[in-house]
Amino acid sequence: MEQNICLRVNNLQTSFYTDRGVIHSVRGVSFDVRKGEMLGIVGESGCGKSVTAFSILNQVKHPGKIDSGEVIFHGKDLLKLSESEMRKLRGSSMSMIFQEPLTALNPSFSIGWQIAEAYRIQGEKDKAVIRERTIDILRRVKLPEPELRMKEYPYQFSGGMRQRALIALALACKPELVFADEPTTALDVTVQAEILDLIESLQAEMNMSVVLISHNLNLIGERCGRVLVFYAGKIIEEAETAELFKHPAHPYTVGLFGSLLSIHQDGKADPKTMPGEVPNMLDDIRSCSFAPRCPYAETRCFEREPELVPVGPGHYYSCHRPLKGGAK
Amino acid sequence: MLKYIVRRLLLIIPIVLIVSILVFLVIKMIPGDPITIMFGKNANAEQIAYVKTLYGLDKPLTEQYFTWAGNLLRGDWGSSIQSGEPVFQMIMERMPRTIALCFCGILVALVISIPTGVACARRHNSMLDLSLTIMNLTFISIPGFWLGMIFMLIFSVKLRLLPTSGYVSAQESLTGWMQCMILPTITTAATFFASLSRLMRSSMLEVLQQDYISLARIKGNTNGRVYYIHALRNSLIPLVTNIGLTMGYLMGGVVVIEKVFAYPGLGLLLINSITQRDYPLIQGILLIFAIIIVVINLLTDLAYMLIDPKIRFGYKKT
Repeated sequence: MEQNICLRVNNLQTSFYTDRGVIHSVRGVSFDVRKGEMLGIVGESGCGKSVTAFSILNQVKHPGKIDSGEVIFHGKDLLKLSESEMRKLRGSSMSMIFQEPLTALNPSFSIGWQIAEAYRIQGEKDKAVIRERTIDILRRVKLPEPELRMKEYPYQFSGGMRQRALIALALACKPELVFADEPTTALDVTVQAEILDLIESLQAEMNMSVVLISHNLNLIGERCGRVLVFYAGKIIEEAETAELFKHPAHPYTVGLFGSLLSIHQDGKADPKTMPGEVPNMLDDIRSCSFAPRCPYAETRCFEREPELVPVGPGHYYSCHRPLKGGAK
Repeated sequence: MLKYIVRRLLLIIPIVLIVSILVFLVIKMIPGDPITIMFGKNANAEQIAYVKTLYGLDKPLTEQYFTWAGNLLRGDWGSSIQSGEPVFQMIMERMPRTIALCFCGILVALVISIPTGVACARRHNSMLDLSLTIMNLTFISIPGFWLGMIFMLIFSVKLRLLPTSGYVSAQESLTGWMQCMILPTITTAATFFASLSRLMRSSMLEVLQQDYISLARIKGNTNGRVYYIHALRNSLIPLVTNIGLTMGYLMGGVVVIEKVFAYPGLGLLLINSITQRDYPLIQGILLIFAIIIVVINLLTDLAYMLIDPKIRFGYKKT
């Protein structure tokens, strides 16, 4: 593996085996996360963004199951590791900031206890050191009065503070890679920017890679160097952020840009909505998954699913009829 | 906190008042009276009338009630019509035995239901889950007294391992006491461990879906810690509620179980006093049952505080 690659995912497939049938949530996803980068994953709800993150962490909830693929981290395929090997690697190297901080913090234990536990698992035994580190990490996420607040319970925290505590908890594991799954969706707009600034500054400080998952293309565009666009459980376009914003190739990406609200539009052009719905993931998709909604769809789009192919350096898309030069 | 407990204890007063009136009226509605039962069928009317005046049973109901309630307030629970012993002393002699039986029953039920519930949730829809579910549903469907008799048949009559019935006090012989406690305890536990186990399973399953469980795993916790530290405390709350609510039901069950095993607790005393229409004794026992249930409900609420920080600190602040 190249020196600057932190995590490599190869052909990951995850399905949910429900009573209604098999839901193919992630249908063969491959990507790299580089060291120290902030990678954005964007897509509609249900397109497999979160499931991809959970699969990498091996935390897919029942009735989900990882069908195949490789998750290569530190030269090892995580999906082939035993439970205890995985535990050792994960505890110290990968972590996650959840979407909903209230359900991601255990209501029965104090914030301090939950953070201190991470240090205990890492093998620190000295209580004074653990306490000091807990206070330090809470101070780093800018929680006011950490000495007092660490004794409090999640329900005593406001939404923004909970998210800070959750970030502290994720960082207490000293991770090399953090998944931030819609970390600001549950928050007020005013707090959102603060939290993202915080994640960004801590990323630089601790030199970690961050995978920022969001449905908000603007937010991804502001914060991330590279973007993966997900649709129906697959990556349909991958590019450097600047390139993607200048030359989106896939009609879906273009559609996403079209549906953005922009202050610069002078209120003249209404944001365009994309017609149709996300395909039913219960079906076995053989054609291009976007074809039924695509304004440019041709016969071949309904016959064969396109492969992810390069258009330029670091720019990939999967489309039979790409839009060149950004038809935005 | 203390204020809260005192307030809850004060609640006993109106409850006892209402219960005492109800108990008093219901008992008088049952046909037959203690004196007739005492003398048998061929007693002469004069004798009966004389004894009735002796116990004040010839007076109007309201007067009888106020006499009894007034005495109660002064700490006099009256005497048994049958044996003449003071009611309060009889109750106090037997109450610890009934409480011990209930307590052991709950303890055994918890010791069985928590691990089985957790195991079912841990491997839900597995063979283990299915077989434990079948076992639980079987126990839910079997009435306690019948199960008691079956246990007696197997362990006492056939295998001769344990005494069929009776009681040896712990001061007399500790092993003897334990031996005669085993069957009643297991029978008591059997009547409700199954429903607790089901509850534990479903409550645990719900908790396991939460993000904080995923996070606990991501942090590198072992499976044991994830289930027994991160998940257990949160899934215990419905269990505690259920124990509090089924307590009244359990007391009813214990009455029957005591009868089956001739276990000399409050339940057996109650059944005997009812057949003999021993008014003061019945009233005293039912009143004690009411107080016990109020206290248990209070203990349930206090248990919440131990488990749920929200409740614990909520009271601290007010």
